[in-house]
Amino acid sequence: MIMDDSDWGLIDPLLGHQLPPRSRLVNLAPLGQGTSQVESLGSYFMRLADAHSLQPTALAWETVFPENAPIRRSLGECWRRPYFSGIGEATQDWVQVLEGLTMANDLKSLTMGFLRGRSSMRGLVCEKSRWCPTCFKEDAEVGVPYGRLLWTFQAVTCCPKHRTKLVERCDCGANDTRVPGLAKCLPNICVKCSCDLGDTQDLDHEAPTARELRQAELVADLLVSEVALGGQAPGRDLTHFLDDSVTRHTEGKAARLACLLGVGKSTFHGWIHGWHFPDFAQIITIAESHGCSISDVLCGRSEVATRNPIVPWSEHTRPSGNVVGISHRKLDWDAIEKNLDDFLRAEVPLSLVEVSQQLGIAKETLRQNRPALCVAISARWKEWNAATAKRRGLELEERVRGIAYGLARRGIQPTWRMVLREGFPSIPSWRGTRRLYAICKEARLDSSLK
Amino acid sequence: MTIMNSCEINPHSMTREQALLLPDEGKRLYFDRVWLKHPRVKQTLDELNIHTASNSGKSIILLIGPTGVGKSTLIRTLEERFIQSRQQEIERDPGFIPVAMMVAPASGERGFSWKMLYSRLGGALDEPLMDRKLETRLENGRTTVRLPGGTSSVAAMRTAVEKVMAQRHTQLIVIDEAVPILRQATGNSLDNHMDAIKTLADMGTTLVLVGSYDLQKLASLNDQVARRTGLVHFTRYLTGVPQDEEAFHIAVRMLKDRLPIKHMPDLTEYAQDLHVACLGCVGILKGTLSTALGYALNNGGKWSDKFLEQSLLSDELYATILKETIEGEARIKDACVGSSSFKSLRKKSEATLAAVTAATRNCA
Repeated sequence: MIMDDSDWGLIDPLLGHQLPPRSRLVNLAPLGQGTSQVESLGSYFMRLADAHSLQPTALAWETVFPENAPIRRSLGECWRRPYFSGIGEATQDWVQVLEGLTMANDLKSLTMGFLRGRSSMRGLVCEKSRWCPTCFKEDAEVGVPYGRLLWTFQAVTCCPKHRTKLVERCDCGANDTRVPGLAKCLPNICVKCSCDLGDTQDLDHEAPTARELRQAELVADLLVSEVALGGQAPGRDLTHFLDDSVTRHTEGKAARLACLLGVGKSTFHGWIHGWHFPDFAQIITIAESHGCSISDVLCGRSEVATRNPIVPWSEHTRPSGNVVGISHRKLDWDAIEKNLDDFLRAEVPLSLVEVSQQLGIAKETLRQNRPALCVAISARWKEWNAATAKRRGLELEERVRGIAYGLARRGIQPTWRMVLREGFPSIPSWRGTRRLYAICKEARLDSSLK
Repeated sequence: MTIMNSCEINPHSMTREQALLLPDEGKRLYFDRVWLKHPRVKQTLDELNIHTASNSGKSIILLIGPTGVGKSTLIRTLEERFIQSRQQEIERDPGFIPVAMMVAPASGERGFSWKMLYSRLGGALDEPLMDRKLETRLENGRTTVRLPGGTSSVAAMRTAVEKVMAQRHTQLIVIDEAVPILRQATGNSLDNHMDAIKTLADMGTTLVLVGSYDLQKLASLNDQVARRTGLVHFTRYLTGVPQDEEAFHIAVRMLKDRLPIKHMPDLTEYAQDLHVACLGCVGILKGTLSTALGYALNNGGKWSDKFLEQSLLSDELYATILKETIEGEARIKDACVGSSSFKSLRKKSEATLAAVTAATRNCA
């Protein structure tokens, strides 16, 4: 044995304490980060609990929120719900706590947090969990099955990768098949029957419509854009996009663009001035109408969009499904023209809105295809409306005058209140009311002179 | 003198003069934390490093040595080296726990408690809620879990530990005082023990079991385990071997220099006697000096040579340890890695063949 000085020395007894702090929970890497197949926060939390062989509830209660009783009581099984990966305050709290416990970076990218301050919460997240069985099956073949953030968007109803509709319920749902034991809490395990949701043997793959597919692709593109990945240049946003569009497409008339996008003027002004945000379905409509991506809209990139002609919202089917799209119907414009002509010659004129409701065709479509007839219908209705209003005003004046002079003759001061007591109906119109005050005053003066 | 935090009492960074200013309890703690690195540690560590290398094919290492030789100190050094060699990975991955160390539980029950072992292992890996682990079942394509009643089942804890080892990328697990794992197992339970140990070692982790000579039996119980097992002998400094004697004398001097006693005399004259009395084991030497320090502190911090004699092992204990050590050394001589040769293996082959043939004839 040959000895040298390096063989002798002291061992640091406190070496263990000098280690950099280790993460309390395993540093589980989120799946699909940076791609359109990015994992959702709910799926991540379920996998994290599984990595520790714990029920998510136990992990949440004892480790994530160990001393926060009100939060613990309100948790339920929230990680199973799509809103868990949404843009709410609670989601942000979860992200913060989980990042602290796992020391994982950027768990925010597993949520819709990037839409905070860009879209309203309404209609953003779907209510029920949805999944693509083929994605689960493929995941299991190559690695770990996981739930996608893409599936939690209400606007996404199909898988853009496999071009099949997302599934909302397992086959067992119809039979209410329950098995003994508790289903393992994982994104690809049915909570009711514990079977693998990637088992696609008995499933009929329903094909999505072209619009469903387009919407899913738009959202998938958004998830790999700088908006979601955090490389957006500051400065421009949705308001700039809409401003540019108003200038380019509707010659500075915001109301006209609002009409083309199928929203009210005040709503549109709210967007332009940043008073409130459009909901996600409306953002998709803006992108579709302008023929650009959602990220172009949100980043205010209007160069491409303003080069394309705008497609009115009525050419699309609204994602909420409350207006039936007409783009897929074949319209008989000769018959429509005859109908419009009849409406124009009708004894009582109708407004263009009433005409469009009676025909079941959006007024923008009518305006685009038969502009002269629409202008004539609108003009006739406006003229008739104005004449009717004038005639009605004169009738009211006569009635008030009769009552006021009657009161004066009886020695009663003719005031507006007394006119109302005599049975005259209250007139909501400010202009009419003012005229009626003037008649009362006139009657008072006349009676005092006599 | 300022009252120091116990974490600040560290012989690695504190001189003996500074230690002299500590209160008695601090002085005891100071000497307790003097962990001496000596040539035998380095030599054994080098051997361990060869076996713990990922391509060695040995996933279970038995680190065997006599009582008090300094096995615990050695595994601390192993941990230190292991951590230092993986510093970059540690900084890059905050979930990475390269090495986990624990002491095997002596449950006091009839059988060895694997539950306690997994629980401790979970603790060493910072695993939360070891008593709430789920047992997963996969039947007919359905994945269910069994919720723990009062506490987790052994199977659930075992799966949890295996999972967390994989997630934490743990490369080395050191179980000190591992002999109870064998002592309390017989028959079928021993097979189960072997399976459990094999599974832990199959996770891509090197399992180092540390203990006295009884641990050697593990290598000969099961061929599956034997194939994966490497045996490293941590030897003591032998009397009669000049280099060993010299090294032990240096160890005496170094430990003496760290004793927080004023006017501490030179112990050179006792070095030879201490070598014999401590069986050449540095751990026993440190224990002896530690006890002597206690006597000295009770004496107002004044040293007397009689304290050294009062602190020696009793005759009976000495005889027991010596007997076990000598017998163990004799048993292990042929079992260690590197102890064989082409010639010895050829002899062994012929002898085994002859024995098996004779046995077959007798049966016929």
